[in-house]
Amino acid sequence: MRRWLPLALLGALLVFALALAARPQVDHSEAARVTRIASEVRCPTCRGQSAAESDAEAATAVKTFIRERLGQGASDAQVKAELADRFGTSILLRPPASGVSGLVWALPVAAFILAAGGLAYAFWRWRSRGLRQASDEDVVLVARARRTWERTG
Amino acid sequence: MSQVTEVRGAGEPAGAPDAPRGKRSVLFAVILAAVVLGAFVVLLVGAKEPDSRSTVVGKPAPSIDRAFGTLKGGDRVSLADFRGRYVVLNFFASWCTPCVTEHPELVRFQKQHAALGDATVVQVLYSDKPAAARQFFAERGDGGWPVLIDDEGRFALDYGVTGPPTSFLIDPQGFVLASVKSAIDQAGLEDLLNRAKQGRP
Amino acid sequence: MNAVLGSMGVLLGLAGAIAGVAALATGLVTRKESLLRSGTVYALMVLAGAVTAFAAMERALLTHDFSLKYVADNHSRSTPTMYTIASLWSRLEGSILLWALILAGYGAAMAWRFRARRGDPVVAWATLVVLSVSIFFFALLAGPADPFGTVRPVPLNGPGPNPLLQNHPLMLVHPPILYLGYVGFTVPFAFAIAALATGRLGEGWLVETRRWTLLAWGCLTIGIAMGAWWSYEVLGWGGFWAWDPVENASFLPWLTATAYLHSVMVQERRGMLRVWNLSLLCATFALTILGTFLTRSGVLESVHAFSNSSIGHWILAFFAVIVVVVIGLIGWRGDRLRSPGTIDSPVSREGAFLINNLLFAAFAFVVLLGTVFPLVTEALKGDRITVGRPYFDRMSAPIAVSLLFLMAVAPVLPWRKASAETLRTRMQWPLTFAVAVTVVLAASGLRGWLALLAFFLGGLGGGSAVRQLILATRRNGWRGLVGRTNGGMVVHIGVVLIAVAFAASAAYASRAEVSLTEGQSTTVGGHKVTYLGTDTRRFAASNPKAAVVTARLRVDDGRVYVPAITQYRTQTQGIGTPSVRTGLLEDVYTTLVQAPSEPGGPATIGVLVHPLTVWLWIGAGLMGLGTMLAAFRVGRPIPPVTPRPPPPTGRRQPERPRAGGPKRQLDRVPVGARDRTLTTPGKATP
Repeated sequence: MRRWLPLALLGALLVFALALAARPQVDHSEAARVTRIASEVRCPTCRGQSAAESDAEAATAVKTFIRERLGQGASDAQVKAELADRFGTSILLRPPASGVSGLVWALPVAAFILAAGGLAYAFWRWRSRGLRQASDEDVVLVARARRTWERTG
Repeated sequence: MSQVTEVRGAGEPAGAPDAPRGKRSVLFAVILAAVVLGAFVVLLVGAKEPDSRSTVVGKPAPSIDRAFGTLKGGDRVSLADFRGRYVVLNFFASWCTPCVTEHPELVRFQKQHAALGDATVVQVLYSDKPAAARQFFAERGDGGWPVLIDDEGRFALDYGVTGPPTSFLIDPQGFVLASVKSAIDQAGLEDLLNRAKQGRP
Repeated sequence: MNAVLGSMGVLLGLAGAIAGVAALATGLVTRKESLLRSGTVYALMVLAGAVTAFAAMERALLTHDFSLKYVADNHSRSTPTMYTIASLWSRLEGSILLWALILAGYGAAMAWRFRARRGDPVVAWATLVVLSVSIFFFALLAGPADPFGTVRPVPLNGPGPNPLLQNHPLMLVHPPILYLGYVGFTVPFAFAIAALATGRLGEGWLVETRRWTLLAWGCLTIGIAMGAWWSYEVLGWGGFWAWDPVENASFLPWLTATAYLHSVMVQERRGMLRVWNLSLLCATFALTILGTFLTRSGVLESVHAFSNSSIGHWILAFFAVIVVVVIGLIGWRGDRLRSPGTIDSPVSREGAFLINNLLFAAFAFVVLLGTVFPLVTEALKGDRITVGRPYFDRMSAPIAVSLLFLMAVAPVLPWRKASAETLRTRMQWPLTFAVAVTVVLAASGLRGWLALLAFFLGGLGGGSAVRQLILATRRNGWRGLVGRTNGGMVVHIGVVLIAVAFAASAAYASRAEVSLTEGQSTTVGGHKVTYLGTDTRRFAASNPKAAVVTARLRVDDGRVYVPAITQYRTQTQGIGTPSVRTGLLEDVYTTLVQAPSEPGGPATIGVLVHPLTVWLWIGAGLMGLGTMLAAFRVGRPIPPVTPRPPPPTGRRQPERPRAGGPKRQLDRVPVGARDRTLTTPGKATP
């Protein structure tokens, strides 16, 4: 058990460091909020680029709008909903988790769980099969085969 | 070597490639692939016409009072100035090719309806420089309608415009009746207007 | 003249490919070796056609032959020579031409490499597959994507290539290298089909195509990295990866190919996963075609744009043919592909490879689904949704973290089964190093547990890779750096650098956009940026550029950086060019967002402080280097596929009825041996 002590120590140290780093550091300044919302909104004239990244006039307008609405006390979700109301939901870069578009979130998770389950089952089967399979007859054959090889090779 | 194969023969029945089992799995795999691919193709070819109606349709037209000015240096324009008339509000840019195509159609529409006094075109410059737009009108003819300079994209945002050209038909009471997200021609505009007058959306 | 020459080249290539397929097919059916041997000639004929067509197009561009529509659309007299050469692949038709040239090159190289075995049905089948793929691409060039159409009247000048494509020398190398990657997978794919068709499904074809796969994978990796670099240096949005469909299209085959490179080792060692490996390889090839379809047919702009593009239908049909053929063949050979092997424990090298494959497959699924999902909703419901960066970031983060962990642990795992004791001793130093790194970083004030977790796993992965390299070089000197395992470790170090840089940039980048008057300064991320003024340069009317406005910015009271906006005559929107102070720890990335509207007025400046960006490029370089090292073979061939005495480890083990060493031998030997002796009689071990 003594040999595992350093390992446990390292683990504790790691958890401590991560816990120290996990202290929330969300920036609540308005500029940060604007950037955060804008990075989840597509620049209306561009393809795929977010309003935060784009310099296009339409992106600037979106940022100005967000700033204005936040200044009037709107919540993040409200601002996004208002933008979606104007441009349609396709303006939001994060597909909504409900309705048909919820599939884009659920399918990979479901597929992963299925595949991981399948792999776990395969490991389990290999394990049981591997232990069962080598019969006495096999062992004899193996030994004979080995002798042949050792003589010839 | 021969012994080794013998072992394998004993433990695992060697599969012949043309065993019925193999045949069935081919059929299954090919059918599966065909179904998936077929679904994909049907999806692509038989896609529904996308719903391109703007979300402002049916609501009061957002204000365009805050303009940075008009192209001709005139006063600000308000939609309220056109109460009692239908307004075709058109977002355009000099760099957009479909806008160039639809320009003469708008001019013809305007000429006809300015005389009748029942409708007018109002344009908003979208993501473009006033100088470029002035040249656009100098080259392609001025329809005589007001052209607003957008308040840093704010009008486009309020109307949910994602790119030029986009047109909106606003009724005499100031409600948005229809939106068109592509180039329009005079006939299409007349049709929209007639249907609006008969109360058919 | 150029048009005629080019069209002749395309027709020669098409004719050569069709004739080659016909000859090889006849030869395979009638078992006539003389016909099989002719495959090389046809491959060379296709290459000659492709080179002719390519040369004709380059010549047309360089001699300003505006009678060609492609030249008239993509070239101007004032385009610099370098970008003139590159403008061949600036549009659809030209990029198909480049694809055809590289494909023909691979076909000829393959025929040359295997010329000694021309009569072998496997080689004949592989050549036949490559030629069949060539038929498709040359048919595109002859029909729907003809680059040699002409215009009348002949214009005197053209608009030049897309401004974004004439902004950086990387445009000269990025597309060809990326295509070397894409197209390169045709060769292993062809051998996979050949193995399926001939029924020689052992490990022979894997070994034969190992270096071809590595070459393609390495080029794809470098190509993707160059694309990211170009995006960073040219596009001016300050990022390098946007989960854009074009990027996803290149990333998808990379993911499946990476999975394949790992799982193939399980097959070579244990004779297992045959169907899976074939599927991965064929999926990689099919995904390169699907990617071309997605990015070239306009289908992603709208389903209806696809309906109007004829090339889209062609590529989709070709993709369908590939999928049906592959699935049909695998189904047909299903029984021969079943392998009796077992894996004893998930905590083993092969177990780790399987989990690796699960994660890579999940990753590919997420990227594929996210890319095509908007199409599905548009087709089903008529309204579009956007699947953008937040989705991909959210879904890929857990997968990437798991992969990073696996990458740290897997290289120290022994084959078959690992004991806790082995793991402890082997992970001791990497773990100590990684914990030390994390503690130091956390103590120095870095926050955000995800980023620190990524740094920890990076330290762990880097540590275990370095450990392996140290052990190997201690044993074998410089040879400890070459070979698959050691080269792979160099690749892993590259991946670690990229992962760490990605995590750092996601967590610690700071960005600001400020309006400054001359002499004013702003501080972003601890760096002071002072705006000194702008210079405007105007160009003559013949130049496609109208003007360049350059801002002068002094960073940290040191050097002056000069981001610019270039105004092209054909576009009202200016094209921004960033100016970057590159550093080992952080980049200061400056852009001119808006030039002053009147002289001396305020300008809008964008400043982005990006940590560790340079390590992305260093990491990508290491991945390329590692791939090359992995392609070298040290000593005897790694996969033991012929009967030989059990390894010494087996001998030391007591002979008890466990499914251990002896069984492993029994499982794999027959098929591998049979295949090996059939395909390479000369190389079989004594």
